[in-house]
Amino acid sequence: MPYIELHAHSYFSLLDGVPTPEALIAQAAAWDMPALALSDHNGLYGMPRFWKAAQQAGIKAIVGCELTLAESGGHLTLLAENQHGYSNMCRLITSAHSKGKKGIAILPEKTLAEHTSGLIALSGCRRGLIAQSLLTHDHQRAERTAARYADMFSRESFFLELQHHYEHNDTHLNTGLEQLGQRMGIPIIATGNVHYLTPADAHIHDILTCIRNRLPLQHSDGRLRSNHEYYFRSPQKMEALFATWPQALLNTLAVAERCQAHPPIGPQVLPQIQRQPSMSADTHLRTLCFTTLDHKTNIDVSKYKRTLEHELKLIAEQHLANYFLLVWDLMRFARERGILCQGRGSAANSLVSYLLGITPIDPLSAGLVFERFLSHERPNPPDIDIDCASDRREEVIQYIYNKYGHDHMAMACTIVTFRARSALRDVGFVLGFDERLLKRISAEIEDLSLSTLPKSEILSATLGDVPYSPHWQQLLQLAARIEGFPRHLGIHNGGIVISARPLATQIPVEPATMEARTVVQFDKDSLETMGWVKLDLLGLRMLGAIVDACALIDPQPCLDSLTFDDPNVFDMLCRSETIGIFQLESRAQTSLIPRFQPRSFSDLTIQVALIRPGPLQANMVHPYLQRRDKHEPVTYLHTLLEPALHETLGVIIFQEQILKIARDLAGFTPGEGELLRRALSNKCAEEQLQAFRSRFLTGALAQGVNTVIAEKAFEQLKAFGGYAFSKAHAAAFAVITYWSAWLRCHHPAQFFAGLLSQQPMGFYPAHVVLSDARRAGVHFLPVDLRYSQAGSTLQYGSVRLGLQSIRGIGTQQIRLLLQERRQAPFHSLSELLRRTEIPRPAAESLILAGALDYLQQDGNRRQLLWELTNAYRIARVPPSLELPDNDTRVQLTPMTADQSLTTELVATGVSTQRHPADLYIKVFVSAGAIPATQLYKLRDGQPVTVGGMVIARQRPPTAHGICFLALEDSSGILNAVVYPDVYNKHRTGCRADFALIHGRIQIKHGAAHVVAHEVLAVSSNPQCS
Amino acid sequence: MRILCLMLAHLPLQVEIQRNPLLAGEPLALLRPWDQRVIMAALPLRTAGVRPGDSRKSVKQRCPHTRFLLASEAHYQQAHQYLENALRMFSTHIESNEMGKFFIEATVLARTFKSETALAKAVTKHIRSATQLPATASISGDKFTAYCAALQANPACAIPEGKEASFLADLPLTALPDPPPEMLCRLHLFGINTMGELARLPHQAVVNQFGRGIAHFHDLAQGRDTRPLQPYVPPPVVMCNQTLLDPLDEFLAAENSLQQLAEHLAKLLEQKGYQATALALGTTDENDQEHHQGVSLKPPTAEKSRLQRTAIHLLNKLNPQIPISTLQLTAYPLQQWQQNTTQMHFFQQRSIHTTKRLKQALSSLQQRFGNNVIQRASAIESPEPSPVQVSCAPNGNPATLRLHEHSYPIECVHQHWRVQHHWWAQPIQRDYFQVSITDGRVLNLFCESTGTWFIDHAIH
Repeated sequence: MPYIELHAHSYFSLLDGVPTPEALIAQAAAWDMPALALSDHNGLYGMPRFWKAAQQAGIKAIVGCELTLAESGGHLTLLAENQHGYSNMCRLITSAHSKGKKGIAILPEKTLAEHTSGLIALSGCRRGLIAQSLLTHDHQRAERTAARYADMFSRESFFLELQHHYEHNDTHLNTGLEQLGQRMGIPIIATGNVHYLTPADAHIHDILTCIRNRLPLQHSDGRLRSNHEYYFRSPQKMEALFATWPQALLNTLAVAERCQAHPPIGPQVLPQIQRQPSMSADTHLRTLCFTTLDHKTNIDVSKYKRTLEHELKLIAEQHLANYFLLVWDLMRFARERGILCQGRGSAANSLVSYLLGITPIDPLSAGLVFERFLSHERPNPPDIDIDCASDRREEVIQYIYNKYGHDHMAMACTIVTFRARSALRDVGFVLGFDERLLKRISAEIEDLSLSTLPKSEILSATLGDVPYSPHWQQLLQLAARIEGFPRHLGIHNGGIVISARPLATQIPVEPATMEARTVVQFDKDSLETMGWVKLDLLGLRMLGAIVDACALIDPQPCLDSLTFDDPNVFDMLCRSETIGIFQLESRAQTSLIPRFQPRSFSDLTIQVALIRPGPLQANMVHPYLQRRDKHEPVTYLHTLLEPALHETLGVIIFQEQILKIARDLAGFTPGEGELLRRALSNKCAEEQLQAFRSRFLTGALAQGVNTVIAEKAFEQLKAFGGYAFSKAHAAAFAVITYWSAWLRCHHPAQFFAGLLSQQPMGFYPAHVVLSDARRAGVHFLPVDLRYSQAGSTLQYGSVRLGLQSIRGIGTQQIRLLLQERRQAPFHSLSELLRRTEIPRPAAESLILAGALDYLQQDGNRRQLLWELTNAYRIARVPPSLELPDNDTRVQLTPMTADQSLTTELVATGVSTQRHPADLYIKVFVSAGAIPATQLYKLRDGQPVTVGGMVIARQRPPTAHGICFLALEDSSGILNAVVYPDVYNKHRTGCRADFALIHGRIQIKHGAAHVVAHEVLAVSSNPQCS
Repeated sequence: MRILCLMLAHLPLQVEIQRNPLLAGEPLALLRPWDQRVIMAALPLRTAGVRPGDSRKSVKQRCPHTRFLLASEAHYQQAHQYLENALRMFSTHIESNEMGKFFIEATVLARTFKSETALAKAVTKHIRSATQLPATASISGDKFTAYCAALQANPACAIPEGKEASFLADLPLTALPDPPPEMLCRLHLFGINTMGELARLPHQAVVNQFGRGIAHFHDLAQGRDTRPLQPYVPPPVVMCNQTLLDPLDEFLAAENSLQQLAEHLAKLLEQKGYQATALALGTTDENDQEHHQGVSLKPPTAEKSRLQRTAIHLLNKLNPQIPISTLQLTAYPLQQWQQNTTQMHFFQQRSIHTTKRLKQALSSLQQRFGNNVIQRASAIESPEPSPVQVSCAPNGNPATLRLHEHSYPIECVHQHWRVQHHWWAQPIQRDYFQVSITDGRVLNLFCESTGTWFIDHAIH
């Protein structure tokens, strides 16, 4: 007898389900089940994936969910019969989430009653109110409840749900439900309440249940299901189990037939931007673009018009004009408010984006490909990413909320999944492992995947033979199984979803942790799957730093007028003076510069794109540099590739080049080329890739290209994998790179002041930025309550550190301090405390940072700290009352220079006078360490000892276990390479704050680094502070 | 009053060196037998940052040449006792609350010797000759100064009256007894690193700054330790051991000996009126290797049978592979007032939440009515399932049942349910059937995964 499963949970039931939506569909397909419902708890998180998988498998996906009711805590299974029902389901889920705390959904029955049309309800599992009433022999209540639901949903749309999991009293319950149905004329229906695919997965479900309840297994009695029968049963097994109730099985087919709803297919209808009533969105967009184009000079107008027409046509066809207008409106608002914003990513491939002022790159002059952004062939909608000064991003978000309303805008969610660490920690807790041990091993595993962990040396290095015990093996196996499982919901960094219709009628909405912020239940991939457009508004601190720096320059420079060709800027970059410069300050970029020697904006674009996993893994960097240095000739696999790769000397660096190669060599349309690029960057799509391969080879053959060459070209594309920047993105970044470099070159004090105001940001901590600025000739003044503003400012040509740099003082307190200071300066400690009432930790931080040094003649911070107790006592009584001074005078000796340095470092993270490594200068000198700047004077291979503060530590996955350390002393920064064998021996040293390294110098292409043989930790806590 | 302090710093290390002189100067670390963590380390290791509580593995990583030894508490206690006995020649009024540290009153004694220094020297000479351990002694006006001086004495010294503060002045603040880390940090921030610097601060200023609780340390730094001499009786440890003439290579024989030893221990505890809170078993095998196991006893007990059971359990855990030559049982008893307490056992199935709530409830009851209000109750165990012979129908359902030598056809299977549990420890997999048999009885049968059938009397 055929059967369709109408009650199945995926792992999107968040810790109450094991299978992926795809696995459920695959299993249903294997049993020739024509349809399948997904009914996760209180959400549709997995619905887009389920729907997509079902489409691919040719199965009908039924939209469902299992709601938790407020009054009884019971469950009710809902299935969407039509789109109206789907909207109601979204409303109900939204409503359920809005009533409880974050992550907890409970739906009042009253709300349920208001949104029942288009929905089919099943009475739910054993936790359903009717089943509970029958199990407790309260037949009257069962009847009352059944009657209530039948009235709510109508008797045709309410079913009594029969389940059989070999639970105690299952038979009695099902008989009771059948009899109830007969008495009341309510049909019965059979469901499997699937929580895992096979009985073997029941262990995983138990583990997830314990994680959800924060209980170890041994204390989990009563929380776990009593057996392993909640698996996905085949129709044959269901037939055997429900032989007594055949109608219950037949009804599944009827219900499945009735359910026709689907998740919302995009693009969504976007709000209309204000314009003349007669003007359509397409016309409005066209007008805006052509008006701007008319003002452009020195361009080939006909070429631009042609391109613009092409883009506008495609945009109109895909109904995206409103999307562009919406972003344009947003950018206009930001500009009016002086908020630095700019588009990045593939949007920069569009001339429309450029003309609307969304992106700064002219795609035609930069040779960009529009189809990388938008094409007929592309199945998913494009999204526009916008970088915004991070400290003012909230203003832009609030603008959107206010303009379109809270019901029409929400953030995209992120599904936070179990990573190796969290899986190990949580499963270990559940299995009863010692928490300290788990913490230790979690700290050790870094970025490893649990599937590779058992073979890694880390376990044995940390725990000896312990991990090879059966108990540990069990932990590792179980943890590996849940790696990647959704754990809870988070909020996307910047993904904003806007809709003209209320969002809650299309996608369920949940409150986020942040007050008045909501998230939709689809993450960015799900939105993309459903064809919804979103807007990524990302906070970029560098933009904030640039704005801050410009504000300190008089007169303020116009960044838009910069021409990207200042030789002084490029000279500075070629000298590797790149700390603080956007995208160029990392260790890898610094090592590249001596060889790369950028001299133009185009060079910057390439340099930004070069240090990416794609070019690195495909070994493109070295050949490119060899060709650039003219150490090897520029060759092409085929002459047809020259136009695509000419700019990058025959080497693939940008994503757009994949599209061009596919076009020139294999005759792909740009849209097909984009599909190929997406397939290349998706490791899982091996089958899909094979199809492209055949298409590529056939296309190449048709172009007269030898198959061997075509295969080689395809292999190159495959190795490149698409893990690279698109040229548009790299160029957009290069603009910010140039701006920051220009500021550093011409206005270093203002630039570094801007950087320090925006900390933490960038690759290095604040003290590294400050040390580098000092080497660049910038003078710094310590934080001082008389003069310091919130952020860093300029005072007599020097940078005065701001109050923000003091740890332990919040924004509110800073505002209060500045407000009070404007009234009158603070003359004493007690006066400061009386007027501001700042708490003791904040006052201590001010003292330790040196902000109150002026209150003591000799700047004796110890004395101030001592007097703080008495000052609080005095501050608490009204100034009119004279308090007897009962504090016997104590005269403390001032701090030594080292102590001042340490306390400043602790309080602010920076030192304006000396370098932190000076604390250990004696240790370094006695060990024979040479200053960082002397490294270049040594011969290649010479033994060397260096010492300093560890300012960066990296073990990138692409480096095969090699650890890269950056050490800084007062003279400069040096890089050290620690190979895995040395790293394993000297883990403590590699993780220390200050280290002494014995090794050998290696000089390659003008860059010097130390290959470490020994890394010793120098105590990082010289003073108790 | 003048006080003499006799010190044997790091007594366990000294005892080990005395037992094996080749260890002198070695980087020695003593490990707790049951968890292999450091309890004491020699100077070179302490300098390298080894601290009590560090694991053997971490010490090994930092100091690869470390010599590890399992601590032998019996030996250390014995040495402590020797020292105390030797000191009794000078005074019976001895305070000792720490291993290797003794205080006696020296005011009168000093008069019988030419000077205080002579007394201190005489004490050290006597102790060293009696125990062969490098003890030091000093005399001062208060316990803290005497203790600090004894740590520095070589081998004996006396701090003249009124010079206590100046003697202490150069000592670091860490020499204070258990100084709160927060106080040390704050004092350090104020640039106060020695006791002299602390002592120079006005008392009232210290009280204002740190509160009255900390003022005590200021007194100590000024050489004003007002704590009286209090002979202290530490919680007794009752120990009994047995050296076996013929090492036991049979587990049963070892068990018998251990049971006798436990019986003896129970008698000792009873005589002293104590109950044990923990029991430790130590064995030495033929190769002179020591093995240890310990367990806490909840509720405390002096009951023979329980001590015997626990001792055997410890022996099982040790799982001796080599014949045993020595057995040693050590009981860590309670004070007398804690007698007659017994363990509570409220819930069969405990969870973190119920345990927490139970503890809270018990704590409130005890606070309100005293400890004795809580009375024990034991859970009544469910009747054990009894095995039964069942023959099955082809569909796997039970068909006939053989009970008390009668065969009963099964009339009806009312229910069939399945229990699968505890897969992580001892997996349970049972298929339950509620059946009616011909005499009208309704029974619950279950079949284990092994195929064995039982009647469950507990489910109704």
